Amino acid sequence: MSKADLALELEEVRAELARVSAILPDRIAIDPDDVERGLAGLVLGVVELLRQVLERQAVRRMERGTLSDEEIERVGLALMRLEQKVRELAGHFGLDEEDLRIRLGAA
Amino acid sequence: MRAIVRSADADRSASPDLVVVRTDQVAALASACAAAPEASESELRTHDAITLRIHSASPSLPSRFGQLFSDEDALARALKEREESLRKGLDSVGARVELSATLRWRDRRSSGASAPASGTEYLESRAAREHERQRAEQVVARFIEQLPCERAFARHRSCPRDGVAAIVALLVTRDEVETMRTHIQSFGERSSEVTATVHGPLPPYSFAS
Repeated sequence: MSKADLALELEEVRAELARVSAILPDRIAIDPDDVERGLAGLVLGVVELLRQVLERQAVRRMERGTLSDEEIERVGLALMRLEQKVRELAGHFGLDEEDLRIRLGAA
Repeated sequence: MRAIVRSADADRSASPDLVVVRTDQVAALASACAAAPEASESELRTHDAITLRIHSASPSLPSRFGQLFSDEDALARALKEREESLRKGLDSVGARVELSATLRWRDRRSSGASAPASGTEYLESRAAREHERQRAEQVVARFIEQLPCERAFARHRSCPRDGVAAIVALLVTRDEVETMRTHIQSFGERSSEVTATVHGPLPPYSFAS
């Protein structure tokens, strides 16, 4: 990867993180009567948000042609499995996609 | 919980089937229940009818269905903690109502319900989804631009489900409802990309948080 490509990707990640930090709530609401579920929702929400940031970055790189076929397959598989795991854990705590989204705003 | 109103409006909005929990500035209207209500159509319709009735009586912030508190003290604590932001929310929403516009793609293409079989397929499906989202954002921008309302009074979700470009919630005064409905329908008729369906007026669910 050239220096220019690297600088562009860093800039994109910075912009993505700035966008994420702008939608994070000032305060975190966790129901004292249901701390375990609240905490799970918060942690999984953060993991899902970061997964989405990585996914967008991977899509951009794929479309820009800076990933080999092997890399596309490997990165895609990792992101797909991570998504499956987040859903599985969310289901375990009785949380749906909406629950994860609401805690962190519209990503 | 059903809705939040200004403390001064609580008596006007209350009814025998509702419990009123107050702080200095705001009040919550709630229904007592022994167990969590089931998310059935009938329960959802009941909730909607109650929030609509409350909002007809006074400005309110309707609650999402299923917001539960163990008792009145727990509700009072939660209310106290968010009192200032709830009051500001009530001030900004006022007596306005929500109109919901569903923009559906005319060239309905299925995103493919089957799970991707490989990492490459997965990433390609995500790229297609991202393109659809960007296209939906452009449609929404054009849609809002032609409406006679401030951008601040519109919220949207792009690609919430298969075939739907966006659901746009608009906060309008009761006097503006019919004009806005006409504008929305007209956009749908003129657009080569989407159709537009209007729902409402509704309590301002999308502007209550």
